[in-house]
Amino acid sequence: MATAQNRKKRPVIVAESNFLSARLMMASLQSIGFSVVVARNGDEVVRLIGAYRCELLILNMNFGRPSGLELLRLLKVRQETIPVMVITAVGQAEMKAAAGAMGVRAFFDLPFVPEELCKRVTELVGAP
Amino acid sequence: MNTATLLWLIELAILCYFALINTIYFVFTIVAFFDLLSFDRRSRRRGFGDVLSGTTFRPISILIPAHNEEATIVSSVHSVLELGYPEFEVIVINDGSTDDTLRLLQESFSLFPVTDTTRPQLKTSPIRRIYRALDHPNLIVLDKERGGKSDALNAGINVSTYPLFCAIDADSLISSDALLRIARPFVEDDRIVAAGGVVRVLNGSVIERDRVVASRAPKKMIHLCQSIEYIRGFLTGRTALARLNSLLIISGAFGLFLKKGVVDAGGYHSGTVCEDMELIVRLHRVAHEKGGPGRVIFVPDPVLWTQVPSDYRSLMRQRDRWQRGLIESLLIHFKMFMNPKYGAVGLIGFPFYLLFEAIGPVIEMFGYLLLPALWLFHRLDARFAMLFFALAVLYNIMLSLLALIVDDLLFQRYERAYDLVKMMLAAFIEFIGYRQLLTLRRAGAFITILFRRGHWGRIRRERMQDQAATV
Amino acid sequence: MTTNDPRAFAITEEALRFIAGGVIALTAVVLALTLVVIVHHIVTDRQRRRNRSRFETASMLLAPHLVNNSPSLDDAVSVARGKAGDRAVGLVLRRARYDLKGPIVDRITEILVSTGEVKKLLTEAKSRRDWRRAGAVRGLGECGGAQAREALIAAAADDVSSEVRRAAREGLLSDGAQEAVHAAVRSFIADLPRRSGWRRSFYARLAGVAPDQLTELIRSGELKGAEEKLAIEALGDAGRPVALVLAMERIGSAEAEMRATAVRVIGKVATDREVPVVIEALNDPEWFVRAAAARSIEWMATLNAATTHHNWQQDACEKLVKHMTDSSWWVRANAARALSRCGNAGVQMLLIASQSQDRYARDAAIAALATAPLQPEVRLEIKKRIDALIEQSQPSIPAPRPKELFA
Repeated sequence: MATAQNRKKRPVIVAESNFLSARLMMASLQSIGFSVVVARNGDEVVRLIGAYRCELLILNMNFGRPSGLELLRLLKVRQETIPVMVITAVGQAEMKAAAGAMGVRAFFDLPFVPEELCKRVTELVGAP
Repeated sequence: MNTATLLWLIELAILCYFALINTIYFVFTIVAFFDLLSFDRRSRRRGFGDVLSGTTFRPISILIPAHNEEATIVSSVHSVLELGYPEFEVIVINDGSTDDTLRLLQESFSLFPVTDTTRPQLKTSPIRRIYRALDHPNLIVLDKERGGKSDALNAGINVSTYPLFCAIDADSLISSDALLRIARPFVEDDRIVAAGGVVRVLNGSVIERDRVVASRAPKKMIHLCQSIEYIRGFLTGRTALARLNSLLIISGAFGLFLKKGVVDAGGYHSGTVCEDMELIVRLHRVAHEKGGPGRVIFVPDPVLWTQVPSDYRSLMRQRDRWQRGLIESLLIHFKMFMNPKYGAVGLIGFPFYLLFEAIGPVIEMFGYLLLPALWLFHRLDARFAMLFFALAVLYNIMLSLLALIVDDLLFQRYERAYDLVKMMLAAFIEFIGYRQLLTLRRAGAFITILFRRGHWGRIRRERMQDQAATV
Repeated sequence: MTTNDPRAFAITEEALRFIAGGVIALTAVVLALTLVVIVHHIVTDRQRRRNRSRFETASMLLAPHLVNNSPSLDDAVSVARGKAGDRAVGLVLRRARYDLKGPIVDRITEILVSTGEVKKLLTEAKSRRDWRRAGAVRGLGECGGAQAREALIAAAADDVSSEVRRAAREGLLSDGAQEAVHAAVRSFIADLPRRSGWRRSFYARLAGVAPDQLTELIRSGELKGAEEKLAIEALGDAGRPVALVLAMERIGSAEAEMRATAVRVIGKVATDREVPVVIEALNDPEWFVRAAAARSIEWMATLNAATTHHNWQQDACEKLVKHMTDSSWWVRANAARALSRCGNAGVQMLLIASQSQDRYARDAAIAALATAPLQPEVRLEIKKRIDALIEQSQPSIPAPRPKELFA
């Protein structure tokens, strides 16, 4: 059974380039007990996934470089099985379709209510 | 008229020329400063949910012509595929490479051949095969017989499916949001047919995984001088001329074009030395003759980093080629000169480029040679020497410094003040040797064009082709 | 230079000397300026770093309180203002208001009012310079609240600069209150910006913020032609159910472009009931309606949560395969892509099509297989088949160039 101790070793990665947005998501998830790590660019994401067994990747498609889509492709090529939740702004249907083609099933819209974010993440990976 | 008076007239003419051209550059720099200032203000205060986040954009085809680039092609293509643009396709044109270029591409991207179902709008040399990639649905590779860069670009245009295209050299680095920035004006204004961005010298900067992490002043003198030239050129020329819609040169390394406009004008022409220059002049011309989009603009914030020649030999060859390309382009379309039918381009742009960029080096060379010649014959007048120094040398150094100042005030591309100081010192040294060497070569190019048969033949053929097309 | 020179030349020489003198003077000025700029560079560099770290400090201090909407938020704000300064805190609060939803939003507005941020922006909004007003107006939109709203409504209606009016409309849409949105829409209609990019982004934001007002606008008939289509598409992109209603009304329109728009929109927001309508649109006489139908089927299979289950996909696959030999390249390509998204049934159909007699169907199938979400072993298998096909391919007859969808 996954204890609180074990869970701490499995962080959620938030891939978001805006400092505050990242911190808001981090704070939301931390408040219910998740361990969260912020990645500012694609290289960091790859490094983190390599270094830790991560719970979930929350990816903002408007990421810097590589673009969100390329990152998803990279993960696919490396056969990473980490679950991904993609964050989009309202109205980016094409982005969603493209991400969907990459195998992403979980989407989340901005602006967000912190409680809902927590609920979605819990639904996806289980309680912290 | 005795020799004294003749000599004096010549001296006067040279001084007038320098005074005029440098004052024009000075005025341009001031204009550029205010223009960029307002641009900067407007862009800094944009809201959060803006075009940069991608709700409105136009898809782009990125063309990468490649001939024997086995060393860098795979990493270049990977680098371009990683760009954060919402929708784009990458078309690599293998222009009859004799090395492993194609094989490396096939292996790295799992290419498979597809049937060619496009009807070419521009004539090119035959295409052997078209490939698509298994893992990257937006990558297309064309394998064709050798035809040169223009031909390769035209082939890429034929295959592309998006309304805008951008030709990128394999050894340039483009910053991740540069595409968004340079494409933005096309969304807002449908009269634009070409947009140029800023090109800066890559040598010396700190790169990490195809990204410029820190911009630094180059170490070698030759790179430093080129760096200053680029900055000065952008500020003293591009911005102001673009405002007057008289821009005849946008950097071949970084240009975004409206495909329809280019196809209507006939695509790139292979017969020219510098195909991108000639294209721009032709775009202006066709726009005035047939109507249609004809604005050529310059966008100051997207940056492309490119490697510049590291030895004098390649540098000279490059500048010689550019100069010949410019003169050729001007001569081919000479009917635009001072012709009101062609608006600002004909009345302002053309004369400017002809008198100052094309013929300028000859006069400048003459001036540099005159001084020692006069001294040799004991005819050197102290006043002439001093005036020459003030108007030709000092004025120019001041313009370089001014350009660096404006660039730093507005864009602050160098983090450390050390780099800025280094560039400013180099502005002085540029004038001892570097500038003269380049002028010599450029003046030589002018003479080459006039007296070498090959060029005239080419120019004549182009003009005939032109006339036939416009009939 | 002799003394009996003609006058004109003497004047020219004087002029040149004058200019040279000017250049020397200017050079002195420029040299002084370089020193100033170097100092300025160092100072602003430091300032920028400091601002950055202040923003980060303020973010870290306030984020936990913001997400919990805790009573201690006000205290945290005071502490943050002490540590990081008013400017950083103002920026953090405004950005947080943009990212978050719910009761916290109003709370942030209250704080922004009480710390004087709104007041500062209101003053700046009266500046004589356009760009300053535009920036202030945008900022007011980010702050929200009644005072800001008033100023924005006035700016959207009366300001002389079109850029400020546009910024005011953005601000009003950020605000989201009914009268604010109403004012934004009125201002938009009065202006109707020339550039389509701006119009499209306005519809997109309006669809996100106040879809009923956009619906009203569409129904009122004020939007003609292409505008109406853009507006409906924006509603579809925002996932609004009303888009479905509007699209279903227009699916039988006499105008082909409108039918295409309707089909596209339905694809994004359809429920099970509308699936047959989209599949039916595959038989439309116009190629771009058929292409849109195929694309919509792809969306319904992947993007639209209401329709992604498998009941209808078998039927769709059979119809799509027929269109792999359609006369239009776009229809073939879209049909193949849609098949690649319809699970195993679709992929099987594509594998069969990749060996079809028809060259174009084969081609479209192969291209689509390349983008299908497949398991690695299946992908390897496909690559082998494709390699085998290489040997059999012959030069094709060039097909007519497809009309570009983004003209």
